[in-house]
Amino acid sequence: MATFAHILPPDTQAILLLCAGFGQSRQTEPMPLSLSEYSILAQKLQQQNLRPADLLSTDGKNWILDEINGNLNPHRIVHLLERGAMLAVAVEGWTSKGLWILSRSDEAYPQRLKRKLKQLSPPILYGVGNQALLSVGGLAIVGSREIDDEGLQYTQRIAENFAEQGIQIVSGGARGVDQTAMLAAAAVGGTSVGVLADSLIQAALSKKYRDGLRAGQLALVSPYDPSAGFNPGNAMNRNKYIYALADRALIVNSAYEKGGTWAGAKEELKQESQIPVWVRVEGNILAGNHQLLKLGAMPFPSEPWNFNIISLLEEAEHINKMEIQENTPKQLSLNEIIPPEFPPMELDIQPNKHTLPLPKDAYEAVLPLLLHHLNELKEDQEIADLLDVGIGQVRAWLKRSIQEKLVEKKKTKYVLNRNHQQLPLLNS
Amino acid sequence: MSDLQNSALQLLRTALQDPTATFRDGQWEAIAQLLYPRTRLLMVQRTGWGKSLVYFLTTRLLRNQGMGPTLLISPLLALMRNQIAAAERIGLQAATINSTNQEEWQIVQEQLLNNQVDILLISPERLANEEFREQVLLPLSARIGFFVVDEAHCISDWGHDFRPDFRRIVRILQALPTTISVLATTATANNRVTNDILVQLGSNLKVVRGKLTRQSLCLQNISLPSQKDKLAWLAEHLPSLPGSGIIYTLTIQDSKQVAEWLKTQGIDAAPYSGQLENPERQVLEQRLLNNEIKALVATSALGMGFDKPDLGFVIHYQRPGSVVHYYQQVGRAGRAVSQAYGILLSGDRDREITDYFIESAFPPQSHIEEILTILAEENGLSVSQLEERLNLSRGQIEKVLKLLSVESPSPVAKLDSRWYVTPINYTVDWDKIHRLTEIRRQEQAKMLDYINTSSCLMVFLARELDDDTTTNCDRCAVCLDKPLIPETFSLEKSQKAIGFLLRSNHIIEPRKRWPSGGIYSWKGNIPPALQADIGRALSLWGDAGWGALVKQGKYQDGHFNDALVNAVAELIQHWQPNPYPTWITCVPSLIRPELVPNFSERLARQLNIPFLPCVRKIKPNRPQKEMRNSSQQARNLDGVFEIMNGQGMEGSVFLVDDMVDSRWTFTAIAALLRQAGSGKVFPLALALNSLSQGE
Repeated sequence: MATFAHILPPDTQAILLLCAGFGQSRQTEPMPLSLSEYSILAQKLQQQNLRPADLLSTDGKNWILDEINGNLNPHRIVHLLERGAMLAVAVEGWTSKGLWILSRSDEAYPQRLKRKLKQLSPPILYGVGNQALLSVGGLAIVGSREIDDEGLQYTQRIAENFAEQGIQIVSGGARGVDQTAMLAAAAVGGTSVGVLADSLIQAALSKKYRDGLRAGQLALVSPYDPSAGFNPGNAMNRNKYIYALADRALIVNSAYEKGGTWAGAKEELKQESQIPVWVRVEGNILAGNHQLLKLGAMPFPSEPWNFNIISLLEEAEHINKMEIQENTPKQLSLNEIIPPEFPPMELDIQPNKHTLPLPKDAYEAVLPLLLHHLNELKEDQEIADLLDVGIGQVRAWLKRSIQEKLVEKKKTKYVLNRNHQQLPLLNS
Repeated sequence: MSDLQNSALQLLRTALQDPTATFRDGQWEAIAQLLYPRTRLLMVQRTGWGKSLVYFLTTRLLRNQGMGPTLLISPLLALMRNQIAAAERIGLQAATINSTNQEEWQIVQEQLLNNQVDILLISPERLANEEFREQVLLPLSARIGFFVVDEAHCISDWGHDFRPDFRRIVRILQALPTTISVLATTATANNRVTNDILVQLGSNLKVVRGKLTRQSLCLQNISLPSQKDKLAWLAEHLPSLPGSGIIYTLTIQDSKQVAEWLKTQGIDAAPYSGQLENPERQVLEQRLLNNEIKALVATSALGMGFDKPDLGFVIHYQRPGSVVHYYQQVGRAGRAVSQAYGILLSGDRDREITDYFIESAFPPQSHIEEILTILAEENGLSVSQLEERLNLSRGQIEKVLKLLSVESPSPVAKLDSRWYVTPINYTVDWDKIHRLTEIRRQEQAKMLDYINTSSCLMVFLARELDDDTTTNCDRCAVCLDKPLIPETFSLEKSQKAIGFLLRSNHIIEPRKRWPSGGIYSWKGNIPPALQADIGRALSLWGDAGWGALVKQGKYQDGHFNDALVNAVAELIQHWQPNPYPTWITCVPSLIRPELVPNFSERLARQLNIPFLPCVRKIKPNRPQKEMRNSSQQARNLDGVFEIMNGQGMEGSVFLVDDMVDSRWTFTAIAALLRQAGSGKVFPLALALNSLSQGE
């Protein structure tokens, strides 16, 4: 049986309800949350040990009305969450065309994005094709739409060369450099990832990407609504996701002080966690290419490239990195894994150092009762009902009691930890 | 009793205009559950039990709590008048959006956005329409608070009535967050269907099931082998049956023919099928509701949700394909009257028709492959473009696209007006299709068991529907061990039926537009001066009446019997085409050069006008019947005929052929004749190929 891309985990449903426009081009009320608005809400949830899915219950609604204030209007959030039928119709339409949807709380959401962009990583990622490619990395090849044949041929040669060496190509799916690079990689059997700024549905159905998508050689993703049309702001913004999904980047041509390629490269070169940025310095190049060198980009080696091009690049990157480190002591390791914001439901919530600022006497006061109820296996919701408190509160207490080895978790249920001899609170 | 239950009871009484009304078993329980989100409920209750009250009251109470409107997916085009009245009495405003009221969409949209609509009714077929979903439904769905799916048995793949459109509904329900409660209702579902719905909608779906039997329904089966027997029996006994009722036929063609026959016998009857426009259908339904007509002769298009408690009888002109199907239709009778009849007439051709339905339920593998192959080569094609590229009929193409587009995930998708293949790797699940076909065969066989059963007919039906509580009805023909209505009819009725069948002929409508791309040098609309006139066909190919004799003449004897000449002459006498033709010509054939000219010549002698074989075939082509769509059929004729000018061609003319199917041959030759200076051209065929025009 095929997988059901339209049946989303509740967390992802909630994030979609909060953030997605569902193809509504008109500015309709309620306005979906912006990235920063969502981040504020997510932080608030996290602080109280709640997850997005908790907002879908009646308790969740009350929580919003009680707890949300300040810049976020609680009624707007309630209205956004009422759009369940809209979500169902939209999601069914997207997935029937082969699309899938990932939210920041999904395990399959690319770690690279979170690692690099943190709170700025898009809450929702729409995509089509081979999801696994999103974590492969590779060489980003970018450049402006305006490019001559010589430049396109250069792009083609370099994409083929890297693809043949098993290096994935990451690009933006725009006309010109982007598409040439992606299609050239696919043509020689390589893989590529396209981060689109608009029209994901059209791209998913178009003939040019069809074979690559079917063969698992291609993934197209977009943080924007799949039916969204072209929008310069989105096109500009999308560059940061291209860099975030690649190990290194090559700028084929860039105008100076204008255009998305320039802005994107400049932004990347300012990042603390920047990836190596290379720039083409031969052929009919634009003024921006030279200017990027001044901002810290490295000149890409001239043709002919042999099969050692990767080691050549790595060596140069290493030297460059040493130089940078002298100036900037802080450097993030690329291997650092950031856990998902909201760990997937199925997994046990691992105790970590970060505990909630709970009033100590409240926990201690309720613990005997909690342990009494946990003589038998119970769900967190059942306990919340028994204690007549919110589920978030119960989860916090449960977490702490697990840390203290008083309680253990079995799948989704909790029970007294009988292997643990010390039960001081019960004895006292 | 809680306050909520009490206010629900008051609403019920208001809705029913009965201050002493109480809830039926299960009604309040269902409402109470549905008021909480996360509820998924499947309600199996007979029609008339009060399912609509459950969702009306739930809607009223949810609206009182400030929730958004209810979305009701139902194959009904509108709520029945009595339902609307009940809804209005508790202050609910219902609105409909369907393909027949496009001019009202804008108003309904505004009303919805202004929160003035409480229940929005949408047909499943609308929900499956891409443009509608994206442009109309999506903006409207922002505040839906409760989701209702009527006739939910259509969700089941195993259902007798599986409708592809419901697959999309299932996917929408599966994608629906738990914030919204769902109620699925049906009047007919056996355990297999219920289980299938459970599998598809998830195990948290609760099932509520009621008793299905009808206390006052009297069942009887009558074996009447031929069409003429069935017609004669109907004419003989219909007048003595109580009240008004429904006669169900399997095809549209039969519904028309039976209704016409009954009218000739002075019985007020009318045909009803999906071919009729919505307003016409409503007028007919209303006449039946008001007992202003003896019977509607209907296909299954008269069905879902049609509620007439005092229906006097339901007669089946042929054996339906399954027990579930039969029960659903016959169960419309016998609700609020003390005695109602459910009579099944079974005959020789019934099996042939249900076979045809079973065999054509799924498109053949080759059609699916052809379409997927060509779509994979192209960057999007419209249905017309597919027609031009493939030798498949529009219906066949649309059937394949529909089947594929409801797969999950789907291998095809529609964007604007074009179809694309999606980037998923797809294989047709033939095993499943074979399993489904096998089940339909079993269901067909069960109907034969029903005809021959020696147990109580009601018990037989109830058992098949997994209702084991029913005991012998003591009112069916088996329980009473004698016919309820005599199985015999008079010789006179029988002879009249034979005469009627021999006289019934069929209209050949002229085509008014050339195919896309044109033929000869013609394109676009056909000017009236080049069009054929309305023609006639003597019979349906292979049918009772003359059809069988035409078939025999063409394929066995190589010569059409003189009886056919006389029959056509008689047809012309009744028809009286105007201006009356002064000569006859015919469609030439290279394969059977003598057959039609020989017939035409004899007809000309009989009518006493000259036969001028002036149409010549100047190049061979593939048989027209091998061409599967309009575009291919027309192009197959391009440059094939020419007219030899001669004396006597000025007047109107009969253009004779043995069989008519696409009408392109008549259309092309008529235009050539008119161009060559003839008068009006009246097409005349011995048989109409009705397979391509079945329901």
